[in-house]
Amino acid sequence: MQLRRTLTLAAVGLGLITLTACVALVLSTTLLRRTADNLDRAHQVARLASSLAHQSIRFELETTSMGRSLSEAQGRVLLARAIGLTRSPDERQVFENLRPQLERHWRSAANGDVRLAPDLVSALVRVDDLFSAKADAESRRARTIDMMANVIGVGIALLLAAGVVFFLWTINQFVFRPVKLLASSVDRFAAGDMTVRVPVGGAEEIRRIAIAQNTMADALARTREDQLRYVATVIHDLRNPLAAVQLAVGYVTPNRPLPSEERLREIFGMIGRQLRRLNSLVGDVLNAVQIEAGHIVLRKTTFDLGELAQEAVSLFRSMSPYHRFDLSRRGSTTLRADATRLEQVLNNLIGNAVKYSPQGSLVHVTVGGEDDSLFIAVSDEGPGISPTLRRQIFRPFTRGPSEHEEVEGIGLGLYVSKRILEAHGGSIEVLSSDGPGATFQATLPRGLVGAAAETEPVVHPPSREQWSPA
Amino acid sequence: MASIVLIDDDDDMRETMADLLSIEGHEVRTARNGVEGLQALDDRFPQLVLTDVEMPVLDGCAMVYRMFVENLGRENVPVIVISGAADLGLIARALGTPYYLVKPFPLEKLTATIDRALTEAIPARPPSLLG
Repeated sequence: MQLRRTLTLAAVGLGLITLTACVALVLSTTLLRRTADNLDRAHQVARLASSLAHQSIRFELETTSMGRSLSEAQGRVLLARAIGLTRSPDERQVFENLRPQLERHWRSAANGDVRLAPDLVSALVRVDDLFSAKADAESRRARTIDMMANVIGVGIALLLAAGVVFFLWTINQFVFRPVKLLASSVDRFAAGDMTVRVPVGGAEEIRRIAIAQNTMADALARTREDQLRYVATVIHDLRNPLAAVQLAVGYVTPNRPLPSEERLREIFGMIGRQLRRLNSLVGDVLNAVQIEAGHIVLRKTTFDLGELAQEAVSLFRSMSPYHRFDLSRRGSTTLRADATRLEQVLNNLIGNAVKYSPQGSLVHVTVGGEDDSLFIAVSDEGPGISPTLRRQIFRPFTRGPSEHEEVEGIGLGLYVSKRILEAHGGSIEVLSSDGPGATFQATLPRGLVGAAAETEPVVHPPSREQWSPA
Repeated sequence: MASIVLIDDDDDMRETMADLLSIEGHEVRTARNGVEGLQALDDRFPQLVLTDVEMPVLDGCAMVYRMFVENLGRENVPVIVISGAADLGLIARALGTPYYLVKPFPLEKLTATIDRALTEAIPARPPSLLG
């Protein structure tokens, strides 16, 4: 049920009822006025008839011929007025029939015989009765119309009241109640009850709002669930180095001799290693959280990306002596970007290639420049990346199955790299067939056009993408 | 004291634990994943198995299941599961072992749990695999 249609129907319905009421009012008043006119005329005619009778009687009592003449004139006037008031030929005929008798009466009076003829009297009385009866009939008709008008008026009033009640009920059922439910559900959701969903009901428009609210609630609940899971993952990963360090405290117990100096050096070396691991994990998480929650502040300088890649490759060469590294540089690789952040990207990409490929295999890094863009490609000879993993590889906390027993990091590297590249207006993709070997290729705008001050921080707002899997 | 097989993929964790348990007087053999762990068990049954949960190749849970299912005598060795997972209690229950240690833990807790497991010697009986 659409709210718009409902309101339109209600307005049209109530409008029609009101229109009917107005028409009925106009019709009944017109009818009543006509009846009142008829009633009034019938009364006047009846009064004239009785005046005529009085006149005839008074005529009998007039003693002077002057008085008789005057009375006769008055009688004629009364007769003329009565005829003037008649509407139908029948009514007129009644008076026309009366006229010869009256003429006769006046004439005989002039001759000295003033007695009233009995037929004249009865004729006058008949006229009076006739018009009195007509007046009564009109009066009854008026009462009937009044009654009818009352019935119609009350009927329309009841209909209108019923319409209004039905309209209010409909509005309550389809608008107010669902809106109230919606509001209370949203309030409860906002208060922290993530399980609350709005009952979908009422008018079409409100159903749509409810469905949208539920969809949003689902998405929020899912995001929170994912974030809680990520927190659990992070804590789990932090516990491993913590466990080694806490266990090492057991070397120094009151009832046992201290380990040898050489062993102590080894133990403290291990503790240092685990603390560095812990610190690096915390740094990764902090980095990801900053990128996600706040923004990436880019401190742009103009530098040679090829040089940066050369340094990164040299570092990995010394750190991972069992892998072979190879760097190709093509074209001009000067750009304007945040060198520290791009170093982080290079380290993540090369580090991943080392982590996920067997010892003795080659990690190939290519840095190239075209007109206004640059690219970084890092290839390995690992097992390749499955299509499923390829789809989610840039999401946080995604880790692939590793060649080695242990994979450092908690699966934030590629996610962080992607966000850094995006902040620069660049992008990253994974090129991997189902067979062995994978290549990560990043592209970056050169950013040299309109380069201003050497180090002005550029703030990039976080993208809409959440930590949750899309 | 006791013969123990210790399985953990983290080198530092494994070596530190093995070293400390040796100082305690135990005879410790180590392995880096479930497959190596099963091999160590096959060489000679220990009195106790200490295993991490998340490991490459074959994880701790899968290893315990195989110990039980293959029914080669390994199923009678009690198992202590060790992990930083928040739901380790549930994992231990699913494996049917009463012994587990949430990382991080102090040495005293490790030795106390080992002593308890050696005394009671309740082997893992995964409820889902019990007919």
